[in-house]
Amino acid sequence: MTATAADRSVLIAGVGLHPFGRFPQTVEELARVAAADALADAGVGYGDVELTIVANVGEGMAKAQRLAARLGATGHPVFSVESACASSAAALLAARDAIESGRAGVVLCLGVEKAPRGFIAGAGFEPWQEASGVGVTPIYFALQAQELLAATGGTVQDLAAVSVKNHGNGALNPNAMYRSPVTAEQVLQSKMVCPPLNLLMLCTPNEGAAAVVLMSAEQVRRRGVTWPVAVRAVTLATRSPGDWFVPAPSRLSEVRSSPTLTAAAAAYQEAGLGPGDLDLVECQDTDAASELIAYADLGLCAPGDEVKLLRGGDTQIGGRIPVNPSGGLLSKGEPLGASGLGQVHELVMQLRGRAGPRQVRGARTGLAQVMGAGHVSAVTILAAA
Amino acid sequence: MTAAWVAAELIPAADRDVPPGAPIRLAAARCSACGRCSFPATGTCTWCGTPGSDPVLLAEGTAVAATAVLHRTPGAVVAVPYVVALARFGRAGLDVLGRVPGAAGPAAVPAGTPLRVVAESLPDGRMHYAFALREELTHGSS
Repeated sequence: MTATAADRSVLIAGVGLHPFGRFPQTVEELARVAAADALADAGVGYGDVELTIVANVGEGMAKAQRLAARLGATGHPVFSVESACASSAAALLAARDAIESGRAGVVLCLGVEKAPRGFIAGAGFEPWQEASGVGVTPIYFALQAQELLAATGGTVQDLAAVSVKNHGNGALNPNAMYRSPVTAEQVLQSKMVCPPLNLLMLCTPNEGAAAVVLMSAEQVRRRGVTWPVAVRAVTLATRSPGDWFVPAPSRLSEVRSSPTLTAAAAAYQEAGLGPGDLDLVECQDTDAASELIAYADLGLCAPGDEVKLLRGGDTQIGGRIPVNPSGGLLSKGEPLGASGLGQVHELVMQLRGRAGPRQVRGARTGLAQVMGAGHVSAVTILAAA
Repeated sequence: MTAAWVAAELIPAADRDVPPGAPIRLAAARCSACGRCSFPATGTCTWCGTPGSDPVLLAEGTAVAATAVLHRTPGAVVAVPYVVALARFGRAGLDVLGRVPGAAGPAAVPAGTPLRVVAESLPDGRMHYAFALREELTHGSS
């Protein structure tokens, strides 16, 4: 029987997570824990999965097959996608399309990472950039922060306030790496990395895994999935002429755009929604300024009003549009291949009303955004089904 | 003898045999189809993908923003701390990232500060481009 277009609308049937942090377990074990959690949440076994897409940055050849090997040998297609910090959003995009096309009815997206400590290396820099000291990712975040502060009249106190907000939320998240609230004074007194960014304004590359089981509407109905969440949009944009991000050594002076702007516009169109319809946002707070930049790029405020939105308390839990109620990458850390699916895990918990003390009251629609090296940004919009 | 450069392709051949601190130019390219400039110059335009371009040399710019690197990073041969700036080259319409070895800190390179591309000798003996504050170059080198 051929499924209709409506039957092929895509839903999230289950989510799973291995906490983010530093762990003695192998990367395969982190992956297994998250996948088993998601499969149990969806009420299916690995034998029901028709396609597995693995998101990972740091592992080598045949990583998808190796990372999924502990789940079983079922013969179904297993492959990996890699798009730096947006890897797991790329997996979600491919999974959504596989279901919409009718290729698969049940798809597992599995993001996992064991990132080395310290600055992220191998972000696409040329050897000359690294040797001469400009192939350093926080340089880009710091220069963007300087430009943002100059354009908005913001101060380092505002950057500290983003960190305070997200660490406060992370203290309520048992899966976060850092679970202690911090004060603005602690943020500003933490080690300076690249001015104006202190250590507590930057996220930590770390370890963890997140998994999502996606299903067609037909599969959800047939299997009686009790708590599905609708995938309203998944978009990904890469490098327009006006963008500038890691690892480009130069940019065009006059044109200003962002892959997040592009991906967000496409996502809102795909979902038939606008920023005003959102109840919460999880965004790529690689650093405190990146969160503020995302406010305008995602349409939560007009360009120039980013600091005003923050100072007004709008992006706190209980505010008009809470941003990073999970604690964001600033408190969770960033396992590169898993971070985007970690955001989806948070959105699903929020839309189910099961986010505990960090619950956004009445959350019905949420947006997740990740951005990575190579000027790639992805936006996902989910809604309670 | 011409010095060893970290990335000789970034510097026009005529500027490679100079002492440290001397003014040099960066080899950018303007696309013959879309008119946009790219740095580094490549065989095809990095914006529209069209082969064919005209050389554009970048010499004097102004700072857009600056920061500093305080902690050593993998692969770097330069000593910390050092200042990094985005320098705007108006006629080419390009902003280029580079070190500013003569600056005490990012505050010494506020937006609008005049900068000049110069040759720098790195600790491993190789030459590379850097940005100098233009007032440092008033004696003898311009």
